[in-house]
Amino acid sequence: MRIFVFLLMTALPGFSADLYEFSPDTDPIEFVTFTEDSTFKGNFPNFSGDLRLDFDDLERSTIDVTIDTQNARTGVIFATQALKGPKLLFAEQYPNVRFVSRSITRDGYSALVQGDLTIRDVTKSVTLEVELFREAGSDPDDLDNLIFIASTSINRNDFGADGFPNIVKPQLDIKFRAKIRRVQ
Amino acid sequence: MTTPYSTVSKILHWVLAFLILALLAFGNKLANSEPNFETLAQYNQHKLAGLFAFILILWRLIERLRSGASFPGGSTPSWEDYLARTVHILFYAAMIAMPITGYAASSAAGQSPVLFGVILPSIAPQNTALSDGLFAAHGVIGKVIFGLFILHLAGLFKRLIGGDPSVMTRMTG
Repeated sequence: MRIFVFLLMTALPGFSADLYEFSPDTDPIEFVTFTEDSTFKGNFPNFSGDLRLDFDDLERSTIDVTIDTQNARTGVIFATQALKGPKLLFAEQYPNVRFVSRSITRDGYSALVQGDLTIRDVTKSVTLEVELFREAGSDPDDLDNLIFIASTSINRNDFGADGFPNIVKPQLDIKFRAKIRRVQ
Repeated sequence: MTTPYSTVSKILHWVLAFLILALLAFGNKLANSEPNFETLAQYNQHKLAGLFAFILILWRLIERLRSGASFPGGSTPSWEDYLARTVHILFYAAMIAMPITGYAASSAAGQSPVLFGVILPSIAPQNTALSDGLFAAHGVIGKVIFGLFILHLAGLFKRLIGGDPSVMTRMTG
């Protein structure tokens, strides 16, 4: 059973801007797109980033995540080619997608992270809904390894990834469930 | 007076004739259908069949260059002979350009052919405008091939009606 930690940690003194990075064995970033009659899923297995989490003052935390588009995959090779091709991610020319936080606010048991998402060199403001959990069975004081969950929805057309409009709708849901570990 | 083609040339001629006509029909169907996940796979079948045709075309061209070709007519070729030779040359040019433009267009679209799960090498930089242009050229060349096919048939029938079956028998005999 995972324990939500934001509220607990704010009560603990001595935590300020700890640096976390994604664990090598973390799950891929998943996305879901919508077709006329069903959904279509894919993921990004390669990503990296720095998460500076200030548990004393959540608003001072920062998140910077870079996602490798060249290894994006859908499970269907032709769809993967289309995803990475010039009409969508254009991975050959834009090998990365990047999210950089600008502000973080608490929202009940989660946090709203507003930041800049850059896809195909187009930067738009998006808001991630983020939650942090301790791993099941871990000690309440052990914050070395956490589960980072984030989600958002974007309109791919806003970023110029507007190909295949007859197959895939503009909305793209992104879900992020990653293991993070404290490195500093 | 014409001499028969080699057995290899004859087989390649007929295999390529049916394969290219099937590719034209299949490609035309795909070009006029709404793209979806199913047609993405069908496009790949078209690409692989086109690559196979390209190999056969090169083989046929080598055979043609190696063994030559004879055209009907006497020592002074008529305008029909010149037209027949021109159609043959254009046929080869179009048959070679067709798969190259298709492959390059696919590469420019980021969708090079996939063979047994392996993506074949890209032969053009990814670029939507380049891809669109090459696909347009691919479509025009397809129409040119169909036009040449009609001219080829017209020439054949004219010879047959004129009492000269040798142009057919050299490819069937």
